[in-house]
Amino acid sequence: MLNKRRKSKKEYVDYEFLSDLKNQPILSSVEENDTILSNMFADCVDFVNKKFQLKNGTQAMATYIDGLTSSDHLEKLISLLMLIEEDKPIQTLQQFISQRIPSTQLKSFDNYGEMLVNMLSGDVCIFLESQKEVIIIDYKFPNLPLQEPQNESGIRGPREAFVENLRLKTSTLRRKIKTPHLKMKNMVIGKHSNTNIVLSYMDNIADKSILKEVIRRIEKIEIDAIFDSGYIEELIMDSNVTPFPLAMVTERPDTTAACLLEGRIAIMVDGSPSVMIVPMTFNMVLNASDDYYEPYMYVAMKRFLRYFFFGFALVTPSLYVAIITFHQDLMPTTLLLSIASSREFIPFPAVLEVLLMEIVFEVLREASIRIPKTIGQTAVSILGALVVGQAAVEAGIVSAPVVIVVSITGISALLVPQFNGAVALRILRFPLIIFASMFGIIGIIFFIMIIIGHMASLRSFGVPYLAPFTPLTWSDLKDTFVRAPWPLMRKRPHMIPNQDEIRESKTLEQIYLHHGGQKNKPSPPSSSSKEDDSS
Amino acid sequence: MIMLMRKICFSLFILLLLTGCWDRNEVNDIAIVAATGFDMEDSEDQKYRVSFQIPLPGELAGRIGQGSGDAKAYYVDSEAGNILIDIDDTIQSRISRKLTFSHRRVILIGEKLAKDGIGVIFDPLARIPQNRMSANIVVVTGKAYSYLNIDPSFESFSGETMRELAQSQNVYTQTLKDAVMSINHPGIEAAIPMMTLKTIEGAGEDKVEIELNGYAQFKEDKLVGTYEGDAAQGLLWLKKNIFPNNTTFAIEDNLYVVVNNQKANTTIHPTFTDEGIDINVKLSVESSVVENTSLRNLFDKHNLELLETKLKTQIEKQINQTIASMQEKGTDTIGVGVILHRKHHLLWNEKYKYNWSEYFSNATFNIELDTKITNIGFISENLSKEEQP
Repeated sequence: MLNKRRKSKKEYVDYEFLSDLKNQPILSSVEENDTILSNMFADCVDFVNKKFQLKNGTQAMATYIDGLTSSDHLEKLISLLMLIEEDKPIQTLQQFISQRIPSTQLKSFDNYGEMLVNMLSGDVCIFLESQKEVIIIDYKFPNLPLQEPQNESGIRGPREAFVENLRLKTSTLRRKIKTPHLKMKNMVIGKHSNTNIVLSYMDNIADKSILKEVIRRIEKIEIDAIFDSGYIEELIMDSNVTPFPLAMVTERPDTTAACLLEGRIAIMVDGSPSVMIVPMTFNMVLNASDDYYEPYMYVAMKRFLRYFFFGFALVTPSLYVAIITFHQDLMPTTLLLSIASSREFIPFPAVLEVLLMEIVFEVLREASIRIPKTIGQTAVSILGALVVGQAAVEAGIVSAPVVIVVSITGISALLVPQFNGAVALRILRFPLIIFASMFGIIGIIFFIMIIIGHMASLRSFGVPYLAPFTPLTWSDLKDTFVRAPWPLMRKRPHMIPNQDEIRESKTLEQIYLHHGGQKNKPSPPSSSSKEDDSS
Repeated sequence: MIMLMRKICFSLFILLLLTGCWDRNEVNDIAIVAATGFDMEDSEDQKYRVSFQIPLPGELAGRIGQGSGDAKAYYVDSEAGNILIDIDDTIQSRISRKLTFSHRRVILIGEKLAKDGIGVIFDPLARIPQNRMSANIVVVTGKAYSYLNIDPSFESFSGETMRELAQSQNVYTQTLKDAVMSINHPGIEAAIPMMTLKTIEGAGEDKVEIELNGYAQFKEDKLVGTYEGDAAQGLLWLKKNIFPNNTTFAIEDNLYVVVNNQKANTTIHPTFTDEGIDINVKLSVESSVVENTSLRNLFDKHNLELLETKLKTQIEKQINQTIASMQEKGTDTIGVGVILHRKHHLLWNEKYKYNWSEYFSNATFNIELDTKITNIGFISENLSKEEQP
């Protein structure tokens, strides 16, 4: 009984941060160390523990994070250790290091805290039986083969993107969040393709019930092959009858890491750089990664532009149709006269004109994606500008205001950072135009009410899609229309259930609130000079 | 899911069957009426004449784009009849596009109709919401339709010219709504901007432009006189409608000073006395000198004081002229009755309400003026003056 309790105490080490583990000593038994680490890294598919025996029979174990460490070097080292004949028995660890290990960059630690930090940075740890210290050898990959993000570029912040290889994806994430709490749960789906997917989450932040539901839904998938996270998205989502994305798709490791720390769950698929993040809320469509890196005032402006032009891009073409065909009274007289004069010889009704131009615009957009790189983008842009912009107007097929409306809406749709969010916008624009042409502004209001009602009814793994606007969570509005300065972002969003809501220490917030953001008050010169002297 | 899709498809289908587009109007199917003129005809059986000014978008396009064609950018149509809406319908029957009144921003009243009474036009104008009550109302000398055919030099059509004139800064602007309120409110009478045609000297043959020349003086809905020149300026003082404007006065014989009045504050305070009603007008003006044809040095305190006194006399003269025209016709254009009504509610209802114009004509005006010249400009005296040793 007593024995069992002691053992269980050793197996599970309770901690919140790695710094809590500074006082947790390395045990002398390799077996026990192995148990502790294996429990700590449960559900981490990239954690490797290799046990081996030295030539003299001493138990040893190498642990490292797959993807961060070059295993070639390690294999050579292990073969060396396993094969070299023993002259004298090893007495101390220092002796062992100096006599047996050829690597130059090595350290030794006697506690878990420092050991884990190094291991999670890509070093190899070697445990020896009956030694209370662990040897850390630097076998890091010099640099990971990362691309620049293709679809989500920003001005400030990391310029790296996920690549196709699954192990590189997990190691990129590990580099962002160095803690065993970051889990990488491996799953295999696809009857023929047997694709590896990795479920990544913070096990002390992410809500257990959401996690269980995600795993349950993924396990239910029975399909012959999976080639992209898009398959999984449509197979596990709460609703498929919606133009809105219910899972965020990103190729940025920093975005993914930030989402994990909000208690969301990332799903990575081998062979595709697009990482899927659930549960998604609508405000993520309008958040860009560099919103969190740039000054919050500038971000407030950018967010305002995005929210405003999101609505603008959705409504403008239909509003134009409605006003031109039903509510001429709403326009300023001079504007009406100038629109009337440009529309005077146009053969089509305004609806047809707008629909025509919107379709041409979509065609151009689609063509520019499909066009082979060798032909280049210029062909499409020149043709597009000529056909849409000038020739059509000069030939009197469409009027100039329509071209302006369509191009402004086209450009404002590009303000949306999440590509699949902009897709919803582009799809909904068309029925809205048709409604506007039949019922005028009443039709637009009616259709927008339907859209908002529909959005409010959507759930992504149980999280309301329009959170935090409805249901209204006051404290979460800090990261919607504006992004609060970092000292005030003390808590994680409430809208996503989580286990640990505190993000940063209270002192920062208090200093910010009481001293108007001046964190470092200049200290009197006498004391600082004293410090200099003493150091 | 399939049920849901079916429901959605079905409801969309039903929507298409609804009579949707019944009130749909393409922009090139409407005729935008920019101005309407109301006249009174001479004949007995057809009392009124309504004329419309309709911009032609096709011609406007030419003007905006490649130079100007010779064709006019507007079309004027008119019809006589007894009922105003009937006249509209008759005109509609020969215009291929639907007449749209929501962009009519100026209403012209011919002199004859104004004398007969303009009450008749307000009913159809106010009843239909598409008619803007914020349209400017203007009384013109002669026939209203002749104004619609004037080719203005700056705007594309004369309706716009008249609107701009009626709206400019130091004009007592009257919208339809303002005019109606003054007409039907006891204790105040309407004053409506008045325009006339002016042949321009040196601008080629028969070049005619529209000019704002004062205000039409109304008693109830009938034109009874005009405020022109000094009387018009006096009206602006009394209406507290002071925007930077100029006052010219003689400082000596044939030597004039022009000042620009920048700030002014008027209070009208009626009191009761044994003889009747005293109306105390208090006016303080701050002005700056813009022209001085005399050789006086304005740095000199005495000269400045003289200037202020002369300005005072001039403004007093203007105000007195307005008061004289008002009292002569018995029209309380400045709304003293309204002030009385508000301050002495019971007395007004019992005594003055029904005979107000008589009481007003017999009232005594006490004018208290305070003028101040705060700025004499860059130079102290006329530059042509020889320097004195």
